Amino acid sequence: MAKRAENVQYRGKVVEFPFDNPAEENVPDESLHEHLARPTTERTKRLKARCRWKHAAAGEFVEDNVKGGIERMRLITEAHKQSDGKPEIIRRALGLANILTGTIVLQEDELIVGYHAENPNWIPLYPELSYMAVQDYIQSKYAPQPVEEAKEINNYWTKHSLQGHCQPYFTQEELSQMYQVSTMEAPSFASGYNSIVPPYETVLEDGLLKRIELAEQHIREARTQIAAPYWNADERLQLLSKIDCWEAMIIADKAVISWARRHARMCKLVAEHFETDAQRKEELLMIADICQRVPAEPCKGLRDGMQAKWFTYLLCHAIDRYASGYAHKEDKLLFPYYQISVTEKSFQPMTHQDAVELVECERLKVSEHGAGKSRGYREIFPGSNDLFILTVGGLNSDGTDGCNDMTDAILEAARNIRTTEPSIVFRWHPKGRAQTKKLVFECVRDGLGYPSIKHDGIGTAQMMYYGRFSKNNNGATPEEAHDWANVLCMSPGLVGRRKTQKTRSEGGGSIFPAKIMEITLNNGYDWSYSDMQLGPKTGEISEFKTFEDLWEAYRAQYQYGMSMVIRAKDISRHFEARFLQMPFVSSIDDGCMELGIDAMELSEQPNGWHNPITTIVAANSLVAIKKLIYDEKKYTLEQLDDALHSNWEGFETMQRDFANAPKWGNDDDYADELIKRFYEDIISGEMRKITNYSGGPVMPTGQAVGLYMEVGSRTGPTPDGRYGGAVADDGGISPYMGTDKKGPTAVLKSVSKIDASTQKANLLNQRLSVPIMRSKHGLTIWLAYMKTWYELNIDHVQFNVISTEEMKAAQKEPEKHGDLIVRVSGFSARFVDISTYGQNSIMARTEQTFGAEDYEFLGVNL
Amino acid sequence: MAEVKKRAFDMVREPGTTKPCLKCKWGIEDPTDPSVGQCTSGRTTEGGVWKRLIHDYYNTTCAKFTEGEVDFRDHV
Amino acid sequence: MAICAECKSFFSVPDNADDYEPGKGDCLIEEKDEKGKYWLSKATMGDSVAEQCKNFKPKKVS
Repeated sequence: MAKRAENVQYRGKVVEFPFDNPAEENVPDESLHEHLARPTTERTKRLKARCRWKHAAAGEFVEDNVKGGIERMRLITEAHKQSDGKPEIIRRALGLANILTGTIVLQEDELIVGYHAENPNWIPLYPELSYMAVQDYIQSKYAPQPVEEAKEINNYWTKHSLQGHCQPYFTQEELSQMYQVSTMEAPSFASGYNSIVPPYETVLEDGLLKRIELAEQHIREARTQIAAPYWNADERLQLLSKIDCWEAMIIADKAVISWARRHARMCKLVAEHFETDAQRKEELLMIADICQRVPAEPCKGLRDGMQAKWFTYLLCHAIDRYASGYAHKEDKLLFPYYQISVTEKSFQPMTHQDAVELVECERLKVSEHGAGKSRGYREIFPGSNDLFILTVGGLNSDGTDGCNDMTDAILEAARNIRTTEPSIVFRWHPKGRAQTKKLVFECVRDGLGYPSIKHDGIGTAQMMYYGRFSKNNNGATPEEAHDWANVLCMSPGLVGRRKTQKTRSEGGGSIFPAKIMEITLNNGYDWSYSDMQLGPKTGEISEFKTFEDLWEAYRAQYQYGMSMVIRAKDISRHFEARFLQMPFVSSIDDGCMELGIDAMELSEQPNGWHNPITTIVAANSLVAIKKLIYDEKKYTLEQLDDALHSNWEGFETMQRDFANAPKWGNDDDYADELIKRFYEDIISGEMRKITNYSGGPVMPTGQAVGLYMEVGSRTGPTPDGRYGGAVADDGGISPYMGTDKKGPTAVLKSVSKIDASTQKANLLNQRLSVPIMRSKHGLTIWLAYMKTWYELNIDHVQFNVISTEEMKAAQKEPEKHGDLIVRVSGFSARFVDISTYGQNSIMARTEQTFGAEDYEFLGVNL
Repeated sequence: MAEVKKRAFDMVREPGTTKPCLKCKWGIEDPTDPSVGQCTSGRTTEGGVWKRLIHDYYNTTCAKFTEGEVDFRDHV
Repeated sequence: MAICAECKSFFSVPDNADDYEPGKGDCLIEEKDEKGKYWLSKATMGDSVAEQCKNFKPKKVS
């Protein structure tokens, strides 16, 4: 039966922890999460039961019938060949228009329609981005058919693709160093990976017909200006590319309207010729009406808003170009339509429960959304389809509480339907209303792993900071700075009609301090994975006479990697602006529309960042080396070197000494002082010396996703006592699994020592005790924890609330634990769809229980 | 310091081999370049997978070659 | 020789549609797998040869 939390002696009394829901006393720990799903309606229960998951792990798709589709490849290639000689931006618009003539899909029961490939089990591929990513599919069991045609198409794109354009600016050695994903993540031009924050607001508020009118007006004005006496080359030649940009917007938007209306026609035809259920016929005709009107016209109600948003999402994230993510502030975006439909009931009238059902439908659409991404990205988000992260909460631009009834509908739907995606970020501010925070708690307590929590004040201040570097002096205003969402898992970016991040080249991608640590000790050479030089020659270990010598060698290795990865991103950006324009996205960005500049080229709000992943392995290693070699002189670097090259075999005592050296996350001054310096001086300090395309600094976003598993498997033994091939640390600033031994408040104290303003973001994974969180005191304790977290000015925290018993049961009988969700890092995953190696790493995370000292520090009244 | 034994000491590049890492159950493609591979045969006592890079995935072989696939649950 | 316009799955595109072309239609077919029913719609010219199409079913002649 269920395990209760142990009683605690606190402030003179014995505190007991009965379950908040007494019925849970009789629910076995091993199966708790199988009892928690409660879909709002029979429809969403059916939709979940038949969901076409597209989870991947270890590079493979979990479900059997997922494969690459050929239609998108075929249509974009056909258009590219036919448009030869036209301006590149027009070719891009014609490419999109041709793709949108392809097959469209409707499934039974759904309320939100639209899919991005020619079969609901398939995924589109992107030869115009990375020919290597497509080649990986072609030589796998997921090959699009007919495969010979796919090979021919991919060969065509070898020189025309983004990868083909960018590669010549790197040596073969540099490409090999990046592509293997051990010290650095591969550049997006080679993986095809991307992210974007679409200006959804413009679509919902204006509709595309208005955007077409605006573009037409700009063209008329530009042509008038061109033809006017007296010709002035400096002023007017620049209008040519603007005219092309606006023309491309018109082509793209007309194609999108036509595509959406094909869905209307399809729904009507299915209602008339196939559907026999009267209620479903009515629904299909309602959906037909919606698709006929949106996104051509402004949205009038909540169903309109959801459908217009979904179409926009498909275009920006899958049809025009692949992009990971689901970045938007969903409550802010949809609340006006919630008010119309639910509160006022003046258009598409519905109850709050209907709104929750609609959000559940949205969650299930996302859960079916497969990403045609490269093998690397099929490895690093194990147990999920891709990263889909929306943001809610925080403050409005006028400083009022941003939580509203739409926020609650989003959270209730997440709690009820239990899917891994989309993940949710909650922006925490003291002004946030209690009823919404209770829903956040319920999601966390139920083990969803989200919402992950971001510090609202830190994010808003950061948007203001970056705005100062705007190249056209049009960075975020104080009001706009409040309108931000996480672009992917962790890094804030503006949302709204303008100034949003449009490409991963602006911010994203990773660097791996643990592997850098390894090669620093080997003069830049990688002996354990690739048997090649991965970094500059910064000295043999015999040359590191002082700890500072080692420190500076590390700095040089890190800077080498950082300069290369930002160079890769900006070269990619250079070519994206020339060959990978996004005229549909440009049409819905007010800045692009006003200035006649494509979204890949225009940058008004810099947002440069890069992700250090596996930092704590490096940090703990530096602490152990300083203590045992330089301070106590118990060992020499040469002895350490021998031990590492033997994977500690024959050096067991030494391994224990290094493993027992002070570790991050225990409020230990020795470790924390050095690690603070590491984060601020090297991890951030070196990164901030770099200026990116947008003219701003690049700042570190510490996190992990599943890369801590992948890079761990490519990293040899390290001086923190870790063995070769073992996982690395699982979050940007999270203690290494099992080494945080002084309780949850000691972790907070350690983390708070790092100056958050020197970092873009830092992911903190914490695993909290199931019996404490599910007890009658759970909410009180958690709120006190969150208050302290906020006051300590910590950027982020996310939670696993899951028992080891249940995870072990799921390993034994995965078919009985399909609803068990865990927080990996930055995203949530179905536990049974993760490799055993990954599952074990999650089980190894310290399950934090709270003692009296912790309660005292948090100031809890129990 | 003793000479370090390369981890990839047993991998041999044999152009045209009929037992390439591409077909081996322990081989998976590189995350970026499918002509490069990752060998997942290295299993640690702690339950980890300690990989090795295979520079030429189509033309490298070793004595551990076994045709087939490993379930995703058994590698990373 | 059978053509797409003669098939039950062919529905002419209305002349007020954004993607109207003379002779163009939607080829709309119903599929089913272990996850349920779905429909696929693809633009088709009515005079396309349908001999090799596995989904071809002649319209009933009224």
